Amino acid sequence: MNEPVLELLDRLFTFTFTIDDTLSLSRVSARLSNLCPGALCGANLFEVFHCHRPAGISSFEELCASDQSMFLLVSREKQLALRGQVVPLKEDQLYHFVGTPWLAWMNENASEVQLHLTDFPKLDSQMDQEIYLTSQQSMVRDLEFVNEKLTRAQEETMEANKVQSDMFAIMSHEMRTPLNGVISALSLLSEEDDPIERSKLTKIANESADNLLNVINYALDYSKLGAGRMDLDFDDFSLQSLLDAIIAVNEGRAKEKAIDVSYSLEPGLPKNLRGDPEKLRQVLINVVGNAIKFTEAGKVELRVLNCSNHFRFIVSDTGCGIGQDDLNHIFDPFWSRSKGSSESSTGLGLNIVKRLVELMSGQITVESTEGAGTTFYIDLPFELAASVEAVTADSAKGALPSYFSGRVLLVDDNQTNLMLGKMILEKYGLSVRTASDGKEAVDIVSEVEFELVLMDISMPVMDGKTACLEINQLPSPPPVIALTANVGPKFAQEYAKIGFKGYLKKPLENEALLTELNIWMKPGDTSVEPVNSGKTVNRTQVLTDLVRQLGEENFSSVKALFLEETERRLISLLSAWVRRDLEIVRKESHTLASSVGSFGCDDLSWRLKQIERASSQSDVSEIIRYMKDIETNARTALDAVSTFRTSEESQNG
Amino acid sequence: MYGLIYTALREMVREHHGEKTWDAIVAKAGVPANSLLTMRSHDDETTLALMETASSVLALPLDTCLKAFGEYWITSFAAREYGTLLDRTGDSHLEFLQNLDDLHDRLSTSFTDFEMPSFRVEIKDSTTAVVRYSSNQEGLTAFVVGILQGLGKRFGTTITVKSIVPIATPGREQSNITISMVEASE
Repeated sequence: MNEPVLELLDRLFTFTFTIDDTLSLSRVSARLSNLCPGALCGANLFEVFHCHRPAGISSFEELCASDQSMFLLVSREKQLALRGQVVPLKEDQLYHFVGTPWLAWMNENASEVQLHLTDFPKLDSQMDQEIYLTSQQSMVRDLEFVNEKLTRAQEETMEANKVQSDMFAIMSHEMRTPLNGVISALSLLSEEDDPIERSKLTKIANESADNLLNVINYALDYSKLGAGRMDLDFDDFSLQSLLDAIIAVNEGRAKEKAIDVSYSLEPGLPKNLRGDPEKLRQVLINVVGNAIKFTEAGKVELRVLNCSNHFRFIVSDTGCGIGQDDLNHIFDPFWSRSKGSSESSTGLGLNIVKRLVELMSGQITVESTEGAGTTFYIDLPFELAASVEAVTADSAKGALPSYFSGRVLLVDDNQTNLMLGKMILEKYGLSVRTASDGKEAVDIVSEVEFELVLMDISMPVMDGKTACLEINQLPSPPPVIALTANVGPKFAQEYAKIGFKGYLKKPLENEALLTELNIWMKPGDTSVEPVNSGKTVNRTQVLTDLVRQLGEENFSSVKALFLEETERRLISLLSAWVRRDLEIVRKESHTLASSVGSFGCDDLSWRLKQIERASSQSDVSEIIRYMKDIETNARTALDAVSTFRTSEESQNG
Repeated sequence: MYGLIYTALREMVREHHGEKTWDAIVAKAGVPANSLLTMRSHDDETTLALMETASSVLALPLDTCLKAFGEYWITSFAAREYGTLLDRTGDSHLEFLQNLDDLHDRLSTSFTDFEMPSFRVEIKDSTTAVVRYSSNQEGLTAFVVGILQGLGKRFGTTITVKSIVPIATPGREQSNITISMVEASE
């Protein structure tokens, strides 16, 4: 027996044993004995192992003849399988098995037997295969993970496509109906001679066009919100003014249905808030409008409460209510309530409302009882405006002096504003001269001494900024205060840089005017009755205040001038819009916004400001949005001003 | 370095800090998440960028992160993903340590484009061993320390690093890490 050779074999292979011509085992390696207790010295090879390969051998001779074959042996107890070969040594005429665990069989049939790295000789590549397979399984898991993500993304894309397709389908349908109305009415109009019928057809065409525009506006907002292109635009705003406008916009439809629509504010609520007034306005107009749509009798109420860390807007109606099925989907896009209104709907309104509320970091919830009405709760975290004033606090009469002496030059291209401003300033005891443009103002200041100049910004011939620069070049220039609709820190900085000593928001608010006059003018005789410095909250209040400030006779003159000038400028605005002359549209809307605001036409003023803003940005779709009912809106507002009667006018019939 | 390090890091961060934190780390490191396939090799700069970003996002020192990651690697990730392989490496901490280099020899045969680290272990006595760590990847000694501590947990032994002696070798990180091993029952 060649011991050095056998020792070498033992070092190279984990499992070794010797087989003699009686098939008896000897020199069984320790690891083999350990894993296969039956493999004892003297035991018969085929009694200990089943020979899987070479197949069918049962004698020593057959074993000898297979010394070039792979041997796969499985222990009779099936706890160990070996792979290897038999090696004859010339020295001892015996056969020696050398091998390793048969890994695949072990993994499949005896995984509970713990094999070690050391059971696999360095030459054996079975472990490499196992490592390779394990790594491939990891790769498969990775690919499955990536595939799952891709599948999810694909599903989301398909869902988005479906939503978009649905949107196109619904929008097309919603647009086609009013568009058919426009086309049919216009077609009939060309063949109709009867003025009454023509008027009816024109009304149908107008209403259909309005409906079409509403649908497009919804689609635009929905698209903007979906693309994340809707930003918040923070500003201080008067809650009461905003709610007045909400009611004004909706009261026409409410009257048609004989429904009461009103708002109330919790006592102690701050008068001015800071947030995005336009978004809030859009939300409330939509929810209140919706409430009116689904209410046939009774009332729609809007209440505002001051909660600990937010403001709660509650819109309740006595309408048909919402069924549970509809309630679950009320904020879903393209969802239309199954009953309650014959009016068509894009199903986008409340979805847009919810997204706008969420954009403002708020939340909206709804409660409803079918047949008994619906209540929407909108919670919004507005901040308090810089000037905090409580709703119930009666406007304190001026602690500041309210009578002055001195000369003021008032510059504005709007004749109504000029007349109105002149009268107010004269009521404060001031001597007032007027100019209609910047050039005229510069010429007057060059010749006459003034204590103060109140200067409009946007004017023909020479604008207010240029005029201010020129006035400041004169020796001993008077302080120039800007009269502007553009307020905020950005504009304040710009005006200060130009040389304005301050600015006043148009339309003039008495409190702010008094503050400025107190800075620049000398106090005058105080025997004159002070004018009310309270902020106005609605049109009637504004007009009543104006009468008090100007006197009845003056008010009648100003009112006539206002109506005449507004009519003229309105025609100019509409003509410019027809010509798509956006510069004139911008100028006229700017001028009109300020003068109608002075007469308490807040909603009209607000619309005109939107038109001015959109014109300056050449945003035609936005102009269309606010221009669509400007004429009707103006007509309603002017009628209200026109029919407002002072006590003197009332007495004269 | 192989993507399985990313995968393990991803699993650990997801498990302990959530999906969003992982997304933030990947985004901040500027690594395209879907490119990190487990068994693909990635450049070392990407690996380090990811590790350093994880440390920054989790507001933990890089060494602390690497140790935690090493421990997670051996006790959770590798145990789950490569359990059989770990089982074959040893039934006890001593056996495992002794076979650690053998394991990496065998791994080297499959991962041909990555130079595996080397772990020569000298068992001083039943409670002390010196792990001679050598790698062409710099900055991962703390990761190895985490692995050794995790190994203790795997076998119910408290493994404490007594000293780390760096051995200056150009282009490589080498150190002799002396550990003490105390059976939990002791």
